[in-house]
This record gives sequence, C-alpha cells and structure tokens, in this order.
Amino acid sequence: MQRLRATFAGDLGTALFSTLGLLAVGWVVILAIQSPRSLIATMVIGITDGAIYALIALGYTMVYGIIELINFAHGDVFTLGGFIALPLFAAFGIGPGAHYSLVFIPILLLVFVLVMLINGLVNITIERVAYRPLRGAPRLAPLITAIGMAFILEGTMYLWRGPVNLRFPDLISEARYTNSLIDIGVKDVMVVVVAIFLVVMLSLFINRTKLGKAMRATAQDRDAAQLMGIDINRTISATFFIGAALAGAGGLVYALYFNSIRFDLGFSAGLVAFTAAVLGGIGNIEGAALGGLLIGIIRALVDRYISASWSDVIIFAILIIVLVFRPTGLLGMRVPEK
Amino acid sequence: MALLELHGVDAFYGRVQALHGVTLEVDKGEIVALIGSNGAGKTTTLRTISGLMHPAKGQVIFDGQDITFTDAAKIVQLGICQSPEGRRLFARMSVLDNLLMGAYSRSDRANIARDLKHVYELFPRVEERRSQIAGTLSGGEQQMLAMGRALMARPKVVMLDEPSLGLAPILVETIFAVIKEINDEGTPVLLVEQNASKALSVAHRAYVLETGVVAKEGTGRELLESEDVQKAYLGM
Amino acid sequence: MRTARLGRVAAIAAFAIVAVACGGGGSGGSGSGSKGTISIGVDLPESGAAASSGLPTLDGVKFAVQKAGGSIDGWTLTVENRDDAVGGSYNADKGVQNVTDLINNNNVVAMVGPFNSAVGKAEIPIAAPAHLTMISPSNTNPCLTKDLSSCDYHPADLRKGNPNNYFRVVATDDLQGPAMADYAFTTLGIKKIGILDEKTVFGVGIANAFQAQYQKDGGTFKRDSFDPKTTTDWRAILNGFKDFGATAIYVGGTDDQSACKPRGQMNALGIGSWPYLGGDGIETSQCIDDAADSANGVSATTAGADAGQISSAASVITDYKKAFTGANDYGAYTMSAFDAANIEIQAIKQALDAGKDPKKVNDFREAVRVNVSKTSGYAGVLGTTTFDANGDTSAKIISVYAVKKEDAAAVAKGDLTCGKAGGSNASFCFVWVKQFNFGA
Ligand SMILES: Nc1ncnc2c1ncn2[C@@H]1O[C@H](COP(=O)(O)OP(=O)(O)O)[C@@H](O)[C@H]1O
Ligand SMILES: [Mg+2]
Repeated sequence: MQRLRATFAGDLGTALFSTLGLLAVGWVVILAIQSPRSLIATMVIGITDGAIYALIALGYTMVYGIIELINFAHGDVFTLGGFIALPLFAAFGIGPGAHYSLVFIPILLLVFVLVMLINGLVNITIERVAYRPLRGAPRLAPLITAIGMAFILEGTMYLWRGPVNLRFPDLISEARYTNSLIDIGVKDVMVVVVAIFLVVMLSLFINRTKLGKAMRATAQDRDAAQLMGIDINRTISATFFIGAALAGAGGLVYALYFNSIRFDLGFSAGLVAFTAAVLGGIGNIEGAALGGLLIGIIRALVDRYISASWSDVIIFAILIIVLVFRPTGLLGMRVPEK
Repeated sequence: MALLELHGVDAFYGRVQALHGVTLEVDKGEIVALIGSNGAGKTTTLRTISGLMHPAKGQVIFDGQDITFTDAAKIVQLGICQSPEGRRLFARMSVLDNLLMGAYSRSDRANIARDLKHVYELFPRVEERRSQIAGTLSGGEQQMLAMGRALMARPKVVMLDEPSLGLAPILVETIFAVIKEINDEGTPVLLVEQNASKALSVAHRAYVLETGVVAKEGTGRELLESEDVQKAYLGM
Repeated sequence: MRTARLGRVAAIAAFAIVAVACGGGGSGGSGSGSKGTISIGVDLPESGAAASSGLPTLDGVKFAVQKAGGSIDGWTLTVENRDDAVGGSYNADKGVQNVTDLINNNNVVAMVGPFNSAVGKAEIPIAAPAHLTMISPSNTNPCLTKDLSSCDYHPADLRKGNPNNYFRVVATDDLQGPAMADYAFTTLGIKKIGILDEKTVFGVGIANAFQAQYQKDGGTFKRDSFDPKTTTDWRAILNGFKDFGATAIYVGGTDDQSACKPRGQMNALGIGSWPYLGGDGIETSQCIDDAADSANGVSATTAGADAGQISSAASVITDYKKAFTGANDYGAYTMSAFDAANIEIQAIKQALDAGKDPKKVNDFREAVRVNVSKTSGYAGVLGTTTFDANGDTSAKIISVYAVKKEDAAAVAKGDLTCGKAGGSNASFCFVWVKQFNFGA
C-alpha cells in the first residue's frame, strides 16, 4: 500500500513536473520570440540575483547538512561581508567616492580574500560560542540561539554603521556590451564569474581534499566519522568557515554590484536563499546552487512578464509542489543519518 | 597488564543505566567475543571504549594509558578502531573514499597504499566495487567494506559490532574466515555477536553480557559447553 | 498609516524642553477682576523622541492664548496641557487617560489635539459623550472623519451616537494620491507612469487613489506590487515599466517597507533621472538615503499646508518667533495648532456673548462644540476654514516637496527633511515646490 502510494505519487509527480517544465519552457520560448532583447535582459537580472542567492544558500545548506541547524544568522553573515569590506577598502585608501580603475583590481582581489577570511573566522566564533555548547540540547534551543544571533549581528551592524545605506566604491567597471540583442555589463559578468569560480572551488575542496571529505563524512554520519578519527569539531568549524566565506564573498559581490549595502539586507536575502536551499534539497550543495539560480530566474521572469505581486505566490507554489512530490527537494536532501 | 581493560564501567543514556560495573579485557593476539541478547549493552560497551560516550563510573585503560575521557578521534589515533553496528558507511561516498576515510588519522601514504592493497586482498569484492557509491552495495559487500574501513586505520585493537547480522550463511562464513585471518596477522579482535555459536567457536575468550552486567566469562570453548549459555544463547 | 510628519521638525528634545521652560510664553496674567478660569485642554506627545512633534505644537496653542491676552471677556484663559507620550512615542492609552483627566477638570471647555491619528481614534469615544470639542492640528487619517470602505473603523462608531465633537484643520491622507496625480500629469507633463506599492494597507490605498485620479486626468499606467520581505532586486519590475513606456514612477508605501529601495536601483538601468513620486511615507531621511545616487527627482506629498510658504502667515510666524525664541520652538504643526486654538477661542467668545455660563460646564462645552461645528470662513494663518458635517476643513491643502541638493547652512538649520547625517545623501533635502487646495 505504502509502496503503491509512493509509486503513484512518483508517477503523478513526474507527470506534473514534466508538464510544468514544458509549460515554463514554452512560455520562455514565446517570450524569446516576442522580444529576445527583453528576455535576455531579464535573464541577466535573474541569473545575477540567482548567483548571489546561491552563494548564500550554500552556507545554509552546508550547515544544515552537518548539524541540522537552520542557521538563521546566515543572512546577516552575508551582509557582514559587505560591512567588513568597507574599512578594508578604506585601509587601502579607497573611499566611497572611488571609481573603477585597473590599478584597483589587485586590491579588490586581496579584499575579497580578506573578507572571506574574516567572515569565516567570525562565523567559527559564532558556532563556538552560540551553537556548540548546545549541540546535545533539544533542537529548539540552538534554533532560538540562531535567531538571537541574527538579531545580534544585525543590531551590531546597525550600531556600527547606523541605519544608513552604506555607499560602496565603484570598483567595477560600468562598461556594457550592447548590441541589438544583448545588453550586458562588466558587473553582471563579475557576479557570475565570481559565483561560478567559488562554487567550482567549493566542489573541488569537498570532493578532493581530505578535510573536504571529512566534512562530507561528518555530514553523513557523525558517529562513524568520529570512529574514523575525524575531529568533528574541526569539520563543523570548517563548515561554518566555508559557509561564511562564501556568504561574505556574496555580500561583497552584492555591494559592489548595487553599490550600496544596509545592515538589514540579510533579512530578505537570507529568507530567499534559505528557500532556495530547501528547493534544491537541504544539505545538498548542488541543490543549493540550482535552487538559488532557479529562484533568481523565476523571480525576474515573473516580475518582468507577469507581476511582482505574483512572484512570491509562484515561487512558493513551486516550492510546495516540489516538496509535496519530492519532499527532499529537487536534487535530494542530504542530512545526517540517524 | 592486558592491552585493553575496562574496570567497573557504568554507562548511562540520560537516566537509563545501560552498563553496570562492566569489567573486561582484551590482550594481544586474542579474539574476545562479547555475546548477549538484544539490548544487553554490547554496543554501549564498544561506544564507551571508542569514546563516543564516556562512563559515569569506572575506567578504560588502553596500552597502560587511561582513555576513559579521551576524545573519540584521539582514541582512533591511539589504535582502537571500530566497525560499528549497522556498518555506518558513508553512503554517498565511493567505496575507495570510505576506505580512505578509515585511514583519516594516518599520514603515512606509502603504508596506506599497502594497507589498501591488503584490504583488497582480504575482500576482492570490495576492490571490484571501489569506484561505486557505498550506498549502492549489497549487504554483504557493505559489511566487508565496513571491516576493511576499520582495518585501514591499522588498529592495535579492532572492534566488530555484529558483523554477521543479516548476512546469508555463506557470507557469514566468509566474514568469520576473515576475522580469523585478521587475528592471525596479529590484530586482537573484540567481537560483538548475536550469533553466539559462531562467535564462541572462533573466540579465545568470551564474556556474556546480561542487562548491562557481565554474567559469565571464560574461554570460547568453556562457554560453548556451558549449559546456561547453551540454553540462553545457542537455542539448545 | 502615516498620520503625521515627524521628520520635518528634526529637533532635539532636550533643547525644546529647555526652551519652553525658560522662554516659552505661558498663559499670560489674568486681570485682577477675573470672573474665573476657562482652559483649553491640550493633548500631544511631548516627551522623549516625540517632544520634537508635540512641544512646538503646544507652543502654537500657547501663542494663541497669549495673543488673546490671556483672557476672554473677563475670564482668565489658560492652557491645560497633557503629554501622551510613553517611552518617547505617542500612546493611545495615555491619551485616553489624559482626555479623561481633562473632562474631569471643570475649567476645560475644549481641547486641541491629539497629534497622532491612532490616539485620536482612542480619544474620540471618550470625549464625544462629554461633548468636549477636539480640534486636531495634525491627524491626517481619513477614517477619523470619513466613512470610507478602506477604513477598518467608522466615525459614527467612534462617536457612539453623540453629535460630532472632532474636527481637524489639516487635509486628509486620501487627498495625497490625487494631488500627486495632478502634479505628475499636469505640472510634470507625465503621460505614462509605473505605479508600485508594497502590499500594505497604506501603500495600496494611496497608490489606488493616485491611480484613479491619474486615469481621470488622462494618463496611462502599469501597476505592480512587491513584497518587501522577499524582494532585494527591483530591476525586472523597473524594466517592465521602462518597456511599457513610462517616464516616471509613483510608489505607494513607506520607507520602512522598502518603498524607496527601487529608486536606488534605477540609475543602473539608465532611468535614474525619472521623477520618483510618493506620499508622506517617503518624505523621510530614510527615503533620501535609500534613493542612493538618484535622490534628485524624488518628490512626495504631505497632507497640510507648509506655513512657511503662505505669505499671509509670514508676519504671524515672525511674531511667534519673537515670543518663542528657541531654535526648535517652531515646528511643522505650530501654525495648525495656532489656528485650531483660535477657532476654539472664537467659539468660546461666541458662547460667552450668547450668555452661556462657563460654570455650567456641560452646557458650556456643548455651546462651544456647536459654535466650532458652525465655523465658516474663518480666516486663519493657513487659510480659510469652514468645517463640514464630518469635521473636516474646507482648506484641503496638500503640499508637494521635491528632493534637491541644499547647502550646508540650509541642512544645518534643521527644518528640512534631509538625508541621514553621516550618510552620502546628507545634503539632499525635501524642499517645498507646490501646494494643491482641494477645497477650492
Ligand atoms: N541512544 C540510546 N538512548 C537510550 N537508550 C539507549 C540508547 N541506545 C541504547 N540504549 C539502551 O541501552 C541498553 C543497551 O543497548 P545496546 O548497548 O545497544 O545493546 P546491544 O548492543 O547489546 O543490543 C538497551 O536497554 C537500550 O535500550
Ligand atoms: Mg548492539
């Protein structure tokens, strides 16, 4: 009976997914015929947003994958990346009024590295003081701590820089490539290149290195990992570090892209990114990247061609349909074994 | 002094006491069987030795060193390795990666390669499947991989928790043959089994655990011949 | 729902308190042969962060009493003042307590206040049965006087069957949208516009009102809404407006619901010079800040006249500033409060002239209420006031402000709403450009 139902749901799910997928593709084809230029512009917006969501979603998914905690503070860790970058730029003599110049590129790269490093260390500290002591506690305790941590981070950033929109130096060229079909800026390319580079590096790290494999092992079975001699505190710290490094890079990319950042940005960005992680399959790294990209693109398409008032309705309807027929998300959930 | 000793170990899950003053030892070269019915505390004993949990009372001594409160990861480095109940493979990693995780605490690459070769010799099936994802292996293959993974740490004592559980009789034979082989090569084995007759027949010595208490001990043969044991565990 | 513009009086509470304590004109001396005391009650938020709203408004009432010489027909005229702020912001329960107090005071024959619509909603049911006249200098929520379908409460229910006792000298929020529609279509000549809201009652309501009038004016529009909780990028929406052929955007909403964040992303799309219009919910420092590199071109309406722009008010303001000399004594609603108090003083005088006895407090309050409700063609500082049956003024003035770059001195003066101090738009401020009189 159980089996029968599962098969039935599976078949129905597959049928529904294919129908929806085909409808979506058909719709996009029609849009492409109507105005390829407008569609491409919308896709550029969707992909750049999606890339940023993906960078945040990775941290949610990795942390959930290893300790089954929804790290509510993660959205604010993303914002923190942008906040940390500002004094670093200032230390190199780059103020908010600076404009793009080639000589800034090495500094920019260095700042990227430093932001990722500092952000990672901050997140390690958060894990150490706020989550690790509660590892054996009932689920609700670390969850509430995480919410508390989100408020603390947001409040700290508010106290640090005030409620103002922090203006970012214009370090990325405003140049655009434009023809009758395509209109794409250096900034758009920057976002996508950074995101792809980081995701590839992450994938190499967790699949090829010893620490990366140990992280995956810890995520799959914490006790068994310990029986291999893996120091799980270390792998959990590494997970928080990497999640925050990626989110910090995302925050910096966001700030460079939109030239501004505010202390409360992480609330909405985090909410969307978390949804992306669940859509892709929580704990699943490829899933987070896919989920982020999908949500970015769907939102841009709906905003542009239907109505932004429908964006959330459609995105969450898709999420629910996916979860009903595939409770583990698009690419499957990856959570510790019991 | 034996290689591994437990002295009067009490262990709890929350308020539930699972072990009551467990005392046992495993010495060099031995196969020691730990038998008992379901829920007797066998797995808990191994978890306590491995440092996955710590006793409320008593001591765990390894190689003359008190490891009662040592971290699990450190204990592996000291040389105690466990193939846990239910195999607990890294189901989404390849067979080879599972084996390499077994050698996580080591950095002697050349020897790791040699040990890998040795595991493949012990379990040719595992070598055939080395690039497959562990979760897709059959039950017997998974058990072989779990044992191979434990051996990859090059342990001074290896603990096997119910290695024959759920396996076809022919595979049970294979597993026990390998256990003997491992022991013949000089590695002491602490073997937890519900298949008491099999375990007692390969074990030098054995302990019977009943609701967290060591109820009986002796050589494998003595216990095989004991009437109580025959009644309770051998179905005679 | 926005009820009052706190931003315009960017004042520091402490200064205001000190100024009132030391320099403020009090309730004048009374003649030796006084027949007794008549008081005008006041209920405003006057402490903490809210002091910058309440104190300059209170001073408007005091100034009116002072101008009346502190007496009417031999009766001493005083101000009976109450503070409805708790913890630095207005509090409806405190307001109710204050009004109860005022009702129990037999000298009080009418009151000026409250400052905030939410307080008004709570106070009317207490004051109406006592027939105590309330004139608010600053409540802009239309629901207090008008039976609109968008309201979740209704004036008749507030009054509980008593005759209307509530009046106001400012226009209502429902006129903001139409005023901006006329401004956009006629003054700015915008024929196609994108209309955006942030899915709040206030935002959708004001955008609907804008849309209706804009359509009536002959403009065409594309409408969209976003959810501030999940939106970080407005560019796809903005591109939709662009492709539609819009040349400006009207946003219904408030800054705290991200109403101005779309503005900050317009420059990247090459539309940063489009006018970006809205209601008083965006007439704030936050909005100027969120507009990032496109602060110029943001315009907002507020309900009420800007006294600084009315030539007939100039001499009164000059007099006032001589009497109340503190830097923060003058606020956006000082002159509204002055007009409100004067209308009450006129009504009190009429009651006395008609032989009513202030000692019979219930009769006298009712006489004042009737006289106030009949106010017609009263020439105040801000314009000519005639109250309609709802208690609304005929001087339905909506002001339009546009963001411009100001010099440091103008910013420092503190009577403009500018970008946040320390932010990169600190020198951009909302400057008055035009007013609409819907009463005309
Ligand atoms: N995680 C746990 N929480 C609570 N009680 C447990 C847990 N694991 C085992 N127990 C209890 O401890 C006792 C011993 O269990 P265990 O060591 O697993 O027995 P065995 O391995 O001999 O079958 C049993 O009564 C079991 O119910
Ligand atoms: Mg067991």
